[in-house]
Amino acid sequence: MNKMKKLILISVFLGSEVFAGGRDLINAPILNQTYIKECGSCHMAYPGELMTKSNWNNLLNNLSKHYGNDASIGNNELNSIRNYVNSTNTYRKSSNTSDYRITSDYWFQRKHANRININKKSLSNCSECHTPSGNGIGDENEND
Amino acid sequence: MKYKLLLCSILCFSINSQANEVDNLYKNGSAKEGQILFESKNKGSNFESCTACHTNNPKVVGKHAKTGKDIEPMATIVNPNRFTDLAKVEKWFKRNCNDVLKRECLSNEKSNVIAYLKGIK
Repeated sequence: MNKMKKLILISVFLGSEVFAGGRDLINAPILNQTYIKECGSCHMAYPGELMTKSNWNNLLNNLSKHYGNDASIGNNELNSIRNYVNSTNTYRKSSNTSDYRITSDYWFQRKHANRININKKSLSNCSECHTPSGNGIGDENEND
Repeated sequence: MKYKLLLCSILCFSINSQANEVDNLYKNGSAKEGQILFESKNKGSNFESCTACHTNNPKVVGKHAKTGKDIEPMATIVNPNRFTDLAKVEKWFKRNCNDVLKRECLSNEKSNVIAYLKGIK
Protein backbone atom coordinates (compact mmCIF):
# COMPACT_ATOMS: atom_id res chain seq x y z
CA MET A 1 0.00 0.00 0.00
CA ASN A 2 2.81 2.34 0.94
CA LYS A 3 4.49 1.51 -2.34
CA MET A 4 1.30 2.38 -4.18
CA LYS A 5 1.03 5.74 -2.39
CA LYS A 6 4.63 6.55 -3.26
CA LEU A 7 4.01 5.70 -6.90
CA ILE A 8 0.94 7.92 -7.03
CA LEU A 9 2.82 10.78 -5.37
CA ILE A 10 5.72 10.44 -7.81
CA SER A 11 3.36 10.40 -10.79
CA VAL A 12 1.53 13.50 -9.55
CA PHE A 13 4.87 15.25 -9.02
CA LEU A 14 6.22 14.35 -12.44
CA GLY A 15 2.90 15.10 -14.12
CA SER A 16 2.66 18.57 -12.63
CA GLU A 17 6.27 19.36 -13.48
CA VAL A 18 5.85 18.31 -17.08
CA PHE A 19 2.67 20.37 -17.32
CA ALA A 20 4.27 23.46 -15.80
CA GLY A 21 7.27 23.12 -18.05
CA GLY A 22 5.35 22.39 -21.22
CA ARG A 23 2.67 24.74 -22.53
CA ASP A 24 3.38 27.46 -19.97
CA LEU A 25 7.02 27.60 -20.89
CA ILE A 26 6.45 27.40 -24.63
CA ASN A 27 4.18 30.41 -24.38
CA ALA A 28 6.16 32.37 -21.79
CA PRO A 29 6.54 35.87 -23.20
CA ILE A 30 9.75 37.84 -22.75
CA LEU A 31 8.74 41.37 -21.89
CA ASN A 32 12.14 43.01 -21.58
CA GLN A 33 13.35 44.54 -24.85
CA THR A 34 16.90 45.02 -23.55
CA TYR A 35 17.08 41.32 -22.74
CA ILE A 36 15.77 40.37 -26.19
CA LYS A 37 18.21 42.74 -27.90
CA GLU A 38 21.33 42.02 -25.88
CA CYS A 39 20.98 38.30 -25.22
CA GLY A 40 19.03 37.49 -28.35
CA SER A 41 21.70 38.77 -30.72
CA CYS A 42 23.88 35.67 -30.36
CA HIS A 43 21.35 33.03 -29.41
CA MET A 44 17.66 32.68 -28.83
CA ALA A 45 16.52 34.87 -25.94
CA TYR A 46 15.65 32.07 -23.54
CA PRO A 47 12.70 32.80 -21.26
CA GLY A 48 13.91 33.75 -17.77
CA GLU A 49 11.78 30.92 -16.39
CA LEU A 50 14.29 28.35 -17.64
CA MET A 51 16.89 28.86 -14.95
CA THR A 52 17.02 29.48 -11.23
CA LYS A 53 17.47 33.07 -10.08
CA SER A 54 20.69 32.14 -8.35
CA ASN A 55 22.10 30.72 -11.60
CA TRP A 56 20.93 33.76 -13.56
CA ASN A 57 22.67 36.12 -11.17
CA ASN A 58 25.88 34.11 -11.29
CA LEU A 59 25.71 34.10 -15.07
CA LEU A 60 25.13 37.86 -15.24
CA ASN A 61 28.09 38.47 -12.94
CA ASN A 62 30.39 36.65 -15.37
CA LEU A 63 29.36 37.89 -18.80
CA SER A 64 32.94 38.60 -19.85
CA LYS A 65 33.50 34.84 -19.61
CA HIS A 66 30.20 33.60 -20.99
CA TYR A 67 30.77 29.91 -21.77
CA GLY A 68 34.19 30.81 -23.08
CA ASN A 69 33.13 33.96 -24.94
CA ASP A 70 33.20 37.62 -24.06
CA ALA A 71 29.57 38.72 -23.82
CA SER A 72 30.09 41.82 -21.70
CA ILE A 73 27.48 44.58 -21.88
CA GLY A 74 27.05 48.09 -20.48
CA ASN A 75 25.96 48.64 -16.88
CA ASN A 76 22.57 50.11 -17.79
CA GLU A 77 21.71 47.12 -19.95
CA LEU A 78 23.01 44.73 -17.31
CA ASN A 79 20.81 46.29 -14.62
CA SER A 80 17.76 46.11 -16.84
CA ILE A 81 18.39 42.43 -17.59
CA ARG A 82 19.07 41.69 -13.93
CA ASN A 83 15.71 43.21 -13.04
CA TYR A 84 13.99 41.14 -15.74
CA VAL A 85 15.38 37.74 -14.70
CA ASN A 86 14.71 38.48 -11.06
CA SER A 87 11.12 39.43 -11.83
CA THR A 88 10.24 36.29 -13.78
CA ASN A 89 8.16 33.60 -12.20
CA THR A 90 11.04 31.16 -12.30
CA TYR A 91 9.88 27.71 -13.21
CA ARG A 92 13.16 26.22 -12.04
CA LYS A 93 13.32 26.30 -8.27
CA SER A 94 16.41 24.13 -8.05
CA SER A 95 19.18 23.03 -10.32
CA ASN A 96 21.63 20.15 -10.49
CA THR A 97 24.17 22.16 -12.43
CA SER A 98 26.88 24.44 -11.21
CA ASP A 99 27.84 25.69 -14.68
CA TYR A 100 24.61 27.65 -15.25
CA ARG A 101 23.96 25.77 -18.46
CA ILE A 102 20.29 25.34 -19.27
CA THR A 103 21.22 22.38 -21.45
CA SER A 104 22.92 20.43 -18.64
CA ASP A 105 20.00 20.66 -16.26
CA TYR A 106 18.28 17.35 -15.63
CA TRP A 107 14.88 18.56 -16.80
CA PHE A 108 16.35 19.69 -20.14
CA GLN A 109 18.13 16.38 -20.63
CA ARG A 110 14.97 14.47 -19.83
CA LYS A 111 12.82 16.66 -22.05
CA HIS A 112 15.17 16.26 -25.00
CA ALA A 113 16.36 12.70 -24.39
CA ASN A 114 14.66 11.27 -27.47
CA ARG A 115 15.01 14.34 -29.62
CA ILE A 116 18.68 15.09 -29.55
CA ASN A 117 20.01 14.56 -33.01
CA ILE A 118 23.76 14.08 -33.02
CA ASN A 119 23.97 16.00 -36.29
CA LYS A 120 22.78 19.16 -34.57
CA LYS A 121 25.53 21.71 -34.33
CA SER A 122 24.72 22.82 -30.84
CA LEU A 123 22.01 22.29 -28.25
CA SER A 124 21.97 26.04 -27.72
CA ASN A 125 20.73 26.47 -31.27
CA CYS A 126 17.10 26.09 -30.14
CA SER A 127 15.71 27.72 -33.25
CA GLU A 128 16.97 24.83 -35.35
CA CYS A 129 14.01 22.82 -34.01
CA HIS A 130 11.81 25.39 -32.29
CA THR A 131 10.23 28.35 -33.99
CA PRO A 132 10.52 31.18 -31.48
CA SER A 133 8.20 34.12 -32.05
CA GLY A 134 9.41 36.39 -29.28
CA ASN A 135 6.65 34.93 -27.17
CA GLY A 136 8.36 31.96 -25.62
CA ILE A 137 10.23 29.03 -27.04
CA GLY A 138 7.56 27.97 -29.50
CA ASP A 139 6.56 24.51 -30.62
CA GLU A 140 8.97 22.11 -32.18
CA ASN A 141 9.25 22.47 -35.90
CA GLU A 142 7.12 19.82 -37.57
CA ASN A 143 9.59 19.43 -40.39
CA ASP A 144 12.46 18.52 -38.14
CA MET B 1 3.20 68.64 -42.55
CA LYS B 2 5.53 71.09 -40.84
CA TYR B 3 5.79 68.77 -37.89
CA LYS B 4 6.60 65.85 -40.16
CA LEU B 5 9.37 67.83 -41.80
CA LEU B 6 10.72 68.89 -38.43
CA LEU B 7 10.64 65.31 -37.13
CA CYS B 8 12.36 64.09 -40.28
CA SER B 9 15.12 66.65 -40.01
CA ILE B 10 15.69 65.81 -36.35
CA LEU B 11 15.84 62.10 -37.17
CA CYS B 12 18.12 62.63 -40.15
CA PHE B 13 20.34 64.91 -38.11
CA SER B 14 20.64 62.39 -35.27
CA ILE B 15 21.44 59.53 -37.66
CA ASN B 16 24.07 61.65 -39.37
CA SER B 17 25.62 62.80 -36.14
CA GLN B 18 25.83 59.20 -34.93
CA ALA B 19 27.52 58.15 -38.15
CA ASN B 20 29.92 61.05 -37.78
CA GLU B 21 30.73 59.98 -34.27
CA VAL B 22 32.03 56.62 -35.51
CA ASP B 23 33.62 58.16 -38.58
CA ASN B 24 35.34 60.88 -36.58
CA LEU B 25 36.83 58.42 -34.17
CA TYR B 26 37.84 55.81 -36.71
CA LYS B 27 38.99 57.58 -39.84
CA ASN B 28 41.80 57.15 -42.36
CA GLY B 29 41.82 53.39 -41.95
CA SER B 30 43.44 51.08 -44.47
CA ALA B 31 40.86 48.82 -46.08
CA LYS B 32 43.63 46.44 -47.15
CA GLU B 33 44.99 46.09 -43.61
CA GLY B 34 41.43 45.74 -42.35
CA GLN B 35 40.79 42.83 -44.68
CA ILE B 36 44.01 41.13 -43.57
CA LEU B 37 42.97 41.39 -39.92
CA PHE B 38 39.39 40.34 -40.69
CA GLU B 39 40.59 37.19 -42.45
CA SER B 40 43.56 36.42 -40.18
CA LYS B 41 43.62 33.00 -38.50
CA ASN B 42 44.38 32.92 -34.79
CA LYS B 43 44.96 29.41 -33.50
CA GLY B 44 43.80 28.69 -29.97
CA SER B 45 41.25 31.49 -29.81
CA ASN B 46 37.56 31.06 -29.03
CA PHE B 47 36.91 31.85 -32.65
CA GLU B 48 39.79 31.39 -35.06
CA SER B 49 38.85 34.34 -37.23
CA CYS B 50 36.22 37.05 -37.76
CA THR B 51 35.22 34.99 -40.77
CA ALA B 52 34.26 32.04 -38.53
CA CYS B 53 30.94 33.82 -38.00
CA HIS B 54 30.89 36.62 -40.59
CA THR B 55 32.18 34.42 -43.46
CA ASN B 56 34.73 35.47 -46.08
CA ASN B 57 32.07 37.52 -47.82
CA PRO B 58 30.84 40.37 -45.56
CA LYS B 59 27.97 41.02 -47.97
CA VAL B 60 26.17 37.84 -46.96
CA VAL B 61 24.34 36.82 -43.78
CA GLY B 62 26.75 35.19 -41.33
CA LYS B 63 26.12 32.52 -38.74
CA HIS B 64 27.26 32.41 -35.12
CA ALA B 65 29.88 29.64 -35.06
CA LYS B 66 28.58 28.17 -31.79
CA THR B 67 24.85 28.81 -31.69
CA GLY B 68 24.12 28.94 -35.41
CA LYS B 69 22.13 32.16 -35.11
CA ASP B 70 22.05 34.38 -38.19
CA ILE B 71 24.18 37.54 -38.18
CA GLU B 72 23.22 40.40 -40.47
CA PRO B 73 25.84 41.28 -43.15
CA MET B 74 28.75 43.48 -42.09
CA ALA B 75 29.31 45.33 -45.37
CA THR B 76 27.58 48.72 -45.29
CA ILE B 77 26.68 48.50 -48.97
CA VAL B 78 24.08 45.86 -48.13
CA ASN B 79 23.52 46.81 -44.47
CA PRO B 80 23.78 50.60 -44.04
CA ASN B 81 22.95 50.37 -40.34
CA ARG B 82 26.42 49.06 -39.60
CA PHE B 83 28.82 51.52 -37.95
CA THR B 84 26.18 54.14 -37.18
CA ASP B 85 25.99 53.60 -33.41
CA LEU B 86 29.24 54.17 -31.53
CA ALA B 87 28.20 52.28 -28.38
CA LYS B 88 27.27 49.25 -30.47
CA VAL B 89 30.52 49.44 -32.44
CA GLU B 90 32.60 49.58 -29.24
CA LYS B 91 30.65 46.78 -27.60
CA TRP B 92 31.16 44.36 -30.46
CA PHE B 93 34.80 45.23 -31.13
CA LYS B 94 35.58 44.63 -27.45
CA ARG B 95 33.84 41.26 -27.36
CA ASN B 96 34.91 40.00 -30.73
CA CYS B 97 38.55 41.11 -30.56
CA ASN B 98 38.81 39.36 -27.20
CA ASP B 99 37.30 36.21 -28.69
CA VAL B 100 39.36 36.20 -31.88
CA LEU B 101 42.64 37.88 -30.89
CA LYS B 102 42.55 37.26 -27.11
CA ARG B 103 42.98 41.00 -26.62
CA GLU B 104 41.14 44.22 -27.35
CA CYS B 105 41.73 45.83 -30.73
CA LEU B 106 43.82 48.95 -31.11
CA SER B 107 42.21 52.12 -32.39
CA ASN B 108 43.95 51.90 -35.77
CA GLU B 109 42.93 48.24 -36.15
CA LYS B 110 39.29 49.23 -35.67
CA SER B 111 39.71 52.02 -38.24
CA ASN B 112 41.16 49.52 -40.71
CA VAL B 113 38.38 46.97 -40.28
CA ILE B 114 35.72 49.69 -40.58
CA ALA B 115 37.43 51.04 -43.73
CA TYR B 116 37.39 47.53 -45.20
CA LEU B 117 33.74 46.85 -44.43
CA LYS B 118 32.60 50.30 -45.55
CA GLY B 119 34.67 50.13 -48.72
CA ILE B 120 33.26 46.89 -50.13
CA LYS B 121 31.37 47.55 -53.34
